[in-house]
Amino acid sequence: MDIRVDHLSKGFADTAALKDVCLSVRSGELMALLGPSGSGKTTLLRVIAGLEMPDEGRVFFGEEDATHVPVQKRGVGFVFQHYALFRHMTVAQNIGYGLRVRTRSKRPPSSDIEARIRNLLALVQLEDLGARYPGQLSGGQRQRVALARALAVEPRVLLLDEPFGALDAKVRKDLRRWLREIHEHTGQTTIFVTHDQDEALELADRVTILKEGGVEQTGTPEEVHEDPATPFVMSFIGDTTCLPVSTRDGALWYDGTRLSVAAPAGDVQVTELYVRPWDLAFVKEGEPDALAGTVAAIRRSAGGRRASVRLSSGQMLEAEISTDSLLNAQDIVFLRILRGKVFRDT
Amino acid sequence: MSVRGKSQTRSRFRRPSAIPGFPLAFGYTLTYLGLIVLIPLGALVLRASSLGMMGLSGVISDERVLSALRISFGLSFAAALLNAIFGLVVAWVLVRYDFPGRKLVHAAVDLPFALPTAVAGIALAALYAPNGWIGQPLAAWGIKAAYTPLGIFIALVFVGLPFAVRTVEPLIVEIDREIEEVSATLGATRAQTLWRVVLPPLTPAILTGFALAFARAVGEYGSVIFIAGNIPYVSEIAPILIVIRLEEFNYAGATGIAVVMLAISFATLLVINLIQSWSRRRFGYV
Amino acid sequence: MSEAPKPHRPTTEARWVRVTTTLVSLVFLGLFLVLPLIAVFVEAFRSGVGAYFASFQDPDALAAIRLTLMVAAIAVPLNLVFGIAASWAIAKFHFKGKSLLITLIDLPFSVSPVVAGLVFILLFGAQGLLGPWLRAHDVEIIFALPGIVLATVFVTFPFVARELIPLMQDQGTADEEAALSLGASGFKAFWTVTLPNVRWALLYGVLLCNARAMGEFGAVAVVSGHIRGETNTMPLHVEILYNEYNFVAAFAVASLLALLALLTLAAKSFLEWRYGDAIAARAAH
Repeated sequence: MDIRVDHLSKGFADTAALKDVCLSVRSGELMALLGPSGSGKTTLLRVIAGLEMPDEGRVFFGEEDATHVPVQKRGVGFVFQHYALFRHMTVAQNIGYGLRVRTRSKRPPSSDIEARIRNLLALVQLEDLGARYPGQLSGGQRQRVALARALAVEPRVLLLDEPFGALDAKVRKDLRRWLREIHEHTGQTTIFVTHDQDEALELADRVTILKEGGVEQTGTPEEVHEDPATPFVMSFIGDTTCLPVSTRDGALWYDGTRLSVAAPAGDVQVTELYVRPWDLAFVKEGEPDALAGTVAAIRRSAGGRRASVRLSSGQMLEAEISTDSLLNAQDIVFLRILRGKVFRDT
Repeated sequence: MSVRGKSQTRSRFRRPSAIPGFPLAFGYTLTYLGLIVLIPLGALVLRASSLGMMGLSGVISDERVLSALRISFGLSFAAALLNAIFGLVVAWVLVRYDFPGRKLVHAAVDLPFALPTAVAGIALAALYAPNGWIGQPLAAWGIKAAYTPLGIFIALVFVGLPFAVRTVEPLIVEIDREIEEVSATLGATRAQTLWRVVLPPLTPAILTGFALAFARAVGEYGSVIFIAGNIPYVSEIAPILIVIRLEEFNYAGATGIAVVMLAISFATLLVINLIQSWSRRRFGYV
Repeated sequence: MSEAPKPHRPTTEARWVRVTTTLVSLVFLGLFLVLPLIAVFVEAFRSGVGAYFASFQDPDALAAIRLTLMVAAIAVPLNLVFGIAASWAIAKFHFKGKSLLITLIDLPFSVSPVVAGLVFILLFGAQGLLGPWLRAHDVEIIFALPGIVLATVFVTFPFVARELIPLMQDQGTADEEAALSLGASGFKAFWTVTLPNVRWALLYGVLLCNARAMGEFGAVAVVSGHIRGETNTMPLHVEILYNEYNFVAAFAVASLLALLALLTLAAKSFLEWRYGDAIAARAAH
């Protein structure tokens, strides 16, 4: 089911939660809505679900204008961050709920419902836990029950709000892979909200980045990572340092040093250069485009090692170093900027 | 060995703590509780046991006593039932809906807690007397409220209402809206959501409110005696019969009725505790 | 006009349901709560303002007011001290039988006031367990101030404790442990850390305790002996006047008690509104 959102706006009391948002999700696609808190990503998801009414704009499910279709009839599967499982029902009752509340004419026979519950329990790998209550499950198991419950009604679109937000790091990783597998298995059109860029890039077919209620960029993980459309996307996806630069003689200058990064063609002023930690090289003293600095600290992160370098201007710069590097704090180093991203001033 | 032995025997009763003052606070609590509550109640039980089983059953099997107990428990049950239903509706309205004067109404629910029972009693009697504001129109329809069981029922609804409202209200406040939203996304109508998702977790609180309102109604005296008329076999409740027996210096008679009522109080307390521990096991909250 | 009406929020009821249930609730509450309160004041002023104030010239009425104030002045502090001790022991320590202790503290709430009065007659009355000994030593408890105070203390026993216990349990012991680790004595820690943390809940409990102490009827009726001008509290005086068909005077005294109730409710609402978080993490009633 294609989902299309057309010039959507919504305000709460005094703040605008969504501002003229357009978005289209292709059938079978796994789309991530990524942004910091307050960016409107959850509101957008709730509007698509029919839990919130937009002030302006339309929501289309395929060709159908679903803007005023009540949530009960919209056919969405919604998974809440804290799962919202019914605590007084067993796991099996939770999963079967959406089928049992149907009117008699649309309700499958009881035996079909039972079979469906069994299949879903198998799909989410909880075969033996159907008789348990949600209070007796771990966080990751609850998450899977919530997903099975949403899938039980065969929704036109699956919507997940921060699906891994309440889980610890290890469980998150496992569930992430598992959700990807489920998606490949079911081919269900899925939109999920996250503030975690790794999660969005690893899991999604395409990512939409939101900021203050507006869409900054939509693209594949590759596109938003390699070719960010705005400074916000640049700094939100991956670590970035922003250096104040000036344009002179067709080159970029920082603190009196002419950089080897090419200035954009034409007569445009650039004042900021965005640099990734892996776009830096350590060079020998005396190179004309090298920036001198002192290593302030060496940090170990999950992916590798980083040096925080204090340039002679006082600016801090993050640089990736090899794991066998002999660099120490207080060492004096010289850095060349290999690549950088510039945005035209607006 | 004396030091270690001592701390070990003590820790079986109390987990060691860095905070001082336990012996004083705990000792004072037990002493005061014993002097004010436990010993006096013990005196009642002692007095009752001195009557013997025969004496006790003699007191209770008295026709007038049986009738008073029936009236007390029957009307208290009915009043608690009405309170449980209306208490739920009132609590829901107060938590979920906005209307002018909501805060005032919210405060007014506690009025029966704060208003002395004698004041409530004479006010209800004045209202429901045949020439009262409500008694008059009722009389026109041929309904007599004052000096009948109906009058007692009205007074018992008055005293029990806040218990019913205040026990369910905090739980309605705490209902996770996402539970209702997820039910809607799964296709449930609003009525289905209320019946199948919202109501079941509230049931323990509704039952607790019912039990509290019932316990209060059974023992109620001040607000009832003025409107009841206290006609034996018709509108005489058990507490007033205790007072009458005392005025007759029939201590055995008073004690017998009191022990039955005390037993019911204990049973109600036990039921409330069972409901709450069941609810805690089942839902993880009270 | 062609556009379909927007559906109402999925987590609320249809408008007609909301309006109906709200109206039903308001009528129900108006009939059962507000009307009796109004009736008290209307009846009190039925014969004019002069008659109303004349009711308070009666020396027996004044004696009843004095006695009621005195009983509350004794009973409330007693239960205040108990409430603090009990909540300290229960909330700050782990020991066996704690939930039994809490149940016992709540016990007086579920005992009929009449039974509460009766137990003191059985203990201290002329035919009571200690009756002969008391008479021999010329000590009057029943039909005198001590009996009235005892009965009042019994029925108002749990008020302060049950406001404090859940709050202090929620607050835990970290603040006290911090104070102790900084060198404060146990008493100092209580006075400078614990008490400020619970002061609004304490006031709240005292308010409720006081309202019940001044208004208690059943328990006091049993032990007082109804001696005019001596052992009659205000609620008992209301009863006597009412039974004598002196309705204006009865409702006049009752209106004072109703006023006390309204003040208590106002103060209670103010505390809940202003210091809601400081009163109870879990709602009390």
